[in-house]
Amino acid sequence: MPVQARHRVLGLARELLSEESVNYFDLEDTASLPRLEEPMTALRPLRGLVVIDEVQRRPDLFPILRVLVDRRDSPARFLILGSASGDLLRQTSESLAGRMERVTMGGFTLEEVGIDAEQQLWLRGGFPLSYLAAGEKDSLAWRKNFVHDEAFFLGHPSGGRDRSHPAPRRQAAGDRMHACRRAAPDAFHPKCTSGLGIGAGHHSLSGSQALPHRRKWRGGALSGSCWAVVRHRVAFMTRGGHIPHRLSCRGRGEASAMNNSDAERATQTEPNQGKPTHSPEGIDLTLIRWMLSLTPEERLEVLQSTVQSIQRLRGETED
Amino acid sequence: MKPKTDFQEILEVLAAHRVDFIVVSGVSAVLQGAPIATFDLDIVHSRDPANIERLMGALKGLGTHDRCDARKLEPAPTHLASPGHQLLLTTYGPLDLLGEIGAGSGYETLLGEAEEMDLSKVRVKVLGLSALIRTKEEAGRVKDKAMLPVLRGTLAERRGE
Repeated sequence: MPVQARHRVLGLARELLSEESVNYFDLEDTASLPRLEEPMTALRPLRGLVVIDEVQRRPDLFPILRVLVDRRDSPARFLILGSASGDLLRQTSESLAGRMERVTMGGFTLEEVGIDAEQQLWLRGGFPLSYLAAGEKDSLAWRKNFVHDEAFFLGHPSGGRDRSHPAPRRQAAGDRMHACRRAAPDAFHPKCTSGLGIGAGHHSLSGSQALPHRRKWRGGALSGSCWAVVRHRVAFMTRGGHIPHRLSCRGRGEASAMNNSDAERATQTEPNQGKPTHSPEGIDLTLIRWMLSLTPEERLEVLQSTVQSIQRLRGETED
Repeated sequence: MKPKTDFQEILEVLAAHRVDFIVVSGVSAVLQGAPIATFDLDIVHSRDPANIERLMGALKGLGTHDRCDARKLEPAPTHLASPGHQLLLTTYGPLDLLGEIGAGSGYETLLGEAEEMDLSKVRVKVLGLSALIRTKEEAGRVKDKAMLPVLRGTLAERRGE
């Protein structure tokens, strides 16, 4: 599950079993770690529900869990929680295939919060700590830190391209992005952080009256109508100063949000404002301006995506 | 199955083999902000013998063959030493090796008009837009002339005109 959604699962787990129980292991808790120095000895005698949180810290537990789960009388059931890294998913698949049910949890969806809460979901996003914050200020502060810390390719506070970000950090952010996508495939993860930041879940979009059709997003570019909804929402939150950083969307490159600093808002202008949209030869200058807003690497990615899309349309590739 | 285009991968392999080359034409334009589509990566390579040897190593790593020949021949060093164009197909899509472009401009001539660009995993030399426009004008083909308006528009936007 996305790291930020684990609070939901943790809350549910604590409804089932007290943290004080001997059956509860938090592998980030220094008190729990010594208890699992001899994991088979520690886990074998336990009965009922056993909760192991942050299991990715102890991948060596998986083969042990397999043995314990395979016991004839099944005296214990294990609820294991962890960040959905690729390694974790692979290890659980290999060790516990056929012995477990995997439940992926993303942020809150519109179905869960109800249509009456649509605005709150859009503004605060679906991640629990943002959505359930005591007030708008707290929610905004959480989202601000989320966007900054995760640095999903585009979310640099200056709104520009942060070439000073060390490559490993960007790669780590990218890995987390991919982990989120894999963990919550039914959630909407557009190729722009504004979607995550504004809680633009598939369910949010499909529940919106503004969306003319419903389509389960499985990756790739959105349809023009979907982007129209995103642009409308981003513009709405820009005016209200709800989006903490200037972000921009890849893919269509037309949705952008503004920093909520008053000074910056006062001087910021739309990239095409007051400028001609086409050259005398008919060249679409807005497309040029959009491309210039991207890094060279991003421009290359756009080109490659375009070519691959055309190849798919022509049936020249299998996917 | 046809190759899946990945220009970044081709550039990384070339760089890993320390090949001296300059990205030109469509990909060069895209890297500098032109909103165009192109299906091949065009580079002008140094025809220094040592560089040709390094380039051969890279081409081997890319699974390259002549895309104009049904026999799928691999390029030979003599081909790469000529000023002509080698139209190749790699595992990651089409790659054109151009000995010279425009009115006979080779690697050494164009080097002074190339700028280095950082693509996070690799730094490449890219022919500047002004020089790219000039070579297109010199080539004078219909397809080169067709690209000129968008290149000029991109150059103007970059300069803030």
